[in-house]
Amino acid sequence: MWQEEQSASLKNEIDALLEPLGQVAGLHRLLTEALVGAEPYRVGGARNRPWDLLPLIICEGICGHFKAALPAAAAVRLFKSAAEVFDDVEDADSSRSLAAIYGNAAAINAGTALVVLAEKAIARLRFRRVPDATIVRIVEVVNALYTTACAGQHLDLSPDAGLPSEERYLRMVTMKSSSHVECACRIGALVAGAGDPTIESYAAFGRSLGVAVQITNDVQGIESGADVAKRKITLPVIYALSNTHGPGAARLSAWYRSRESKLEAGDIKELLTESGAMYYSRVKAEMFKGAALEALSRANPSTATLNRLKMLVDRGPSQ
Amino acid sequence: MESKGLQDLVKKVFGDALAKAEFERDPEKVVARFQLRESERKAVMATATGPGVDDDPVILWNSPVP
Repeated sequence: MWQEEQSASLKNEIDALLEPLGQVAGLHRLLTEALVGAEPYRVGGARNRPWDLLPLIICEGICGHFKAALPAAAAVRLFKSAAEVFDDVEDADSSRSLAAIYGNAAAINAGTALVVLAEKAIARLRFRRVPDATIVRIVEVVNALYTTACAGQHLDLSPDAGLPSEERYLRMVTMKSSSHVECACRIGALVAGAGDPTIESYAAFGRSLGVAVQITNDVQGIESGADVAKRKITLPVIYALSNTHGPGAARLSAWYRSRESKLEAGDIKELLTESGAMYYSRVKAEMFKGAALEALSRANPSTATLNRLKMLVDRGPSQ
Repeated sequence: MESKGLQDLVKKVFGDALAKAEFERDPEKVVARFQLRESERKAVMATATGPGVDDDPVILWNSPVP
């Protein structure tokens, strides 16, 4: 199956980058642990996180083969893992992170190594006969989008004067989360030698998809109770606290504004569901999915590429 | 991206048991009473008739940054 072939090729590309670090076994193990948290790297994983494959799917869709984009996909994977490692150091909200297991110093060093390896991965594009000018454009894209992601992370970490508005929240999500997906799409099209209109359409696809993914994750975070326990302010919470009144809203507010409420996760989920906040958030996620699919149609992909990308977003046909 | 029409719809459906029952029976009829953009109308209908969040393919993506 195409996903297995692409995942296996991506794993080989990343293994080649990690190989020189084999002499420092401890660091190699930390980097591998940071990377295997993502399913595509683990070939044969039942349920892949498909966005690592975006550069490969898009590149193949445009120029007929995906191997030229393997170093770019590896760079995206490594940058993404580095972002996760640093994020875990910054918000300290995971007991399974490198920071929690090995300490902040080891985690920061591993994250830095992942960033450097990502840059090395981009340099390897020259072995795939990608023109130097294209490699420079890819470096520019990666730098611009990851700077934006850092700015979004700063907004997320900054204490807000009050409850963030929906607009501010979506801006933060677009910067922090969508940048990664947009980057994956944009560089896949760049490696394939696409023209600017096609590149921009794929970039818009990734940008909207990134927001849809984040909002869907917000809804699931309430459903599972994980985000409730952390009192994480996500879109359903912002909607409920901004648009509902009465005793239920007061109880929600007490939970999210102070740490003294005795509500259970199930109570919060019920309040968010009954207020329509969960439904509203799901509609918003659908809107961003719709925008992503519209952008995808503007890119005018082949039927096979369209089906591959649609199956990642919607219940489209698979192959 | 905030939309008054969409917020009005959600407030009505989740604040009025009769409206909610009608929405569950015939979402299109209820949606037609609110000023929604086409993208909002499509999203409301997709949410009303589509899979639950656990069956949504997008959930496979998890959050790009947790």
